[in-house]
Amino acid sequence: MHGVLAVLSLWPIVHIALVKNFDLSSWKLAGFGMYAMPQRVPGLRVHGISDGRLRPLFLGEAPTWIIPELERFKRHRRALGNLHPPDRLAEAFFANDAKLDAVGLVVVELHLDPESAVLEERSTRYAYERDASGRPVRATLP
Amino acid sequence: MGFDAVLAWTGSDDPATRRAKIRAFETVFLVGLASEAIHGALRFSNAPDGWLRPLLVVAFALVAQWERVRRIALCALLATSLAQIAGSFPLTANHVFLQLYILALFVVCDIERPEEQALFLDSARWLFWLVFFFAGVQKLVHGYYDHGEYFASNLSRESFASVWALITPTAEFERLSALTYTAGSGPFRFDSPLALALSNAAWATEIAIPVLLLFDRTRPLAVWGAVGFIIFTEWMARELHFGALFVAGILLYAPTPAIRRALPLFALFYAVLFAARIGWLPGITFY
Repeated sequence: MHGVLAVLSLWPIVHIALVKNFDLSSWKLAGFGMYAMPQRVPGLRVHGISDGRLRPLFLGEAPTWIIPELERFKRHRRALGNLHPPDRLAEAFFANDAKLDAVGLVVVELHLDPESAVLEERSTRYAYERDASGRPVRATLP
Repeated sequence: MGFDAVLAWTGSDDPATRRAKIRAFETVFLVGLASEAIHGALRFSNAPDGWLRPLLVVAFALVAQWERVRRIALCALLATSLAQIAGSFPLTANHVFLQLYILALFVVCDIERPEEQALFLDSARWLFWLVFFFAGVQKLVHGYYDHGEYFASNLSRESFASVWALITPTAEFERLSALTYTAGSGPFRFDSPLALALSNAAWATEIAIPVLLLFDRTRPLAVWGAVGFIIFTEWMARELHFGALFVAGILLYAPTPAIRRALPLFALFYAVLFAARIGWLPGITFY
């Protein structure tokens, strides 16, 4: 019992470090940082390369088939920040289009900078290619 | 130094009143759990588990009143709590984790045995202490309270605006309220001394009260200070089930079984919430 209580007592300190370093939400995961920072809602821009041409995979509203995976990604990203990359989304895009050679995803989040108190758009870019078996692997960003 | 010594900081109880204190807390806790589940179902009629979880929670909470099967019913409630976390993870609200921890304590501790009564009370008080203290620490370290940045960026929320409109000069309040939540917008900062003091008082109070709860001489003051603080913050946050749970937890620090005497107030509170939710008391907004 005491061991469990000791772990629960130390977890918020670990949680603070994770929030600071990996952009986790202070609100979630039992760190008790509710109301400590504005909640973020991630958005997404997705591009793909097929036949050597770069093109947006969707503009505006997402196609119906990807919405459940997209919503799942946003839910997890809101809580887990950079610890939740869009790997499964990339996999879904590759699975939907056999001609797709690469996928680029830009996660866009509004962030209130505590220094300037100004809202800024923060982008994190991810790139994926197919490996020999057709599964997505992280690619080096140009 | 074992963890016993840490738990001892949360105070002690008259052994003759421990059981009554725990049962009173359990009553408030279970009514709150059932009430919150019902409100959730009424609010989100398209929730994936619909009325199944609320009905199970109400049923198990009722069965837990029957002494012979109390701990089995509490085990079942613990299972519903785990299922709730599994279904909402990773966006699970913090107070759902707190409910899980408290349920686990109810299951693990045999409250008929004096030494386990003490273990339950010390552990429960420590859990509420952790929530209170780290809520303050998190506000301090992330830097959104130094100039009221958090509140200034949330004035679109009516319950926040109603408080800040009272203490902020009109021109400043109008400037901040007019800011849109788009890139480049800002600065979301208060200038007036009263607003800055109140924003910083939020984290300072959440750290100071837990510290005062650790000393016999300051504990009574800290208990009533905490209750007042929770009522004030719930004016803005309107997470009234969490507020009630927290008040119940803080009352465990009172040397007298204050929570037992407060039972009628808790009953009235949950009745008012229910009346508000079904529309009999319009104008009361809570989450």
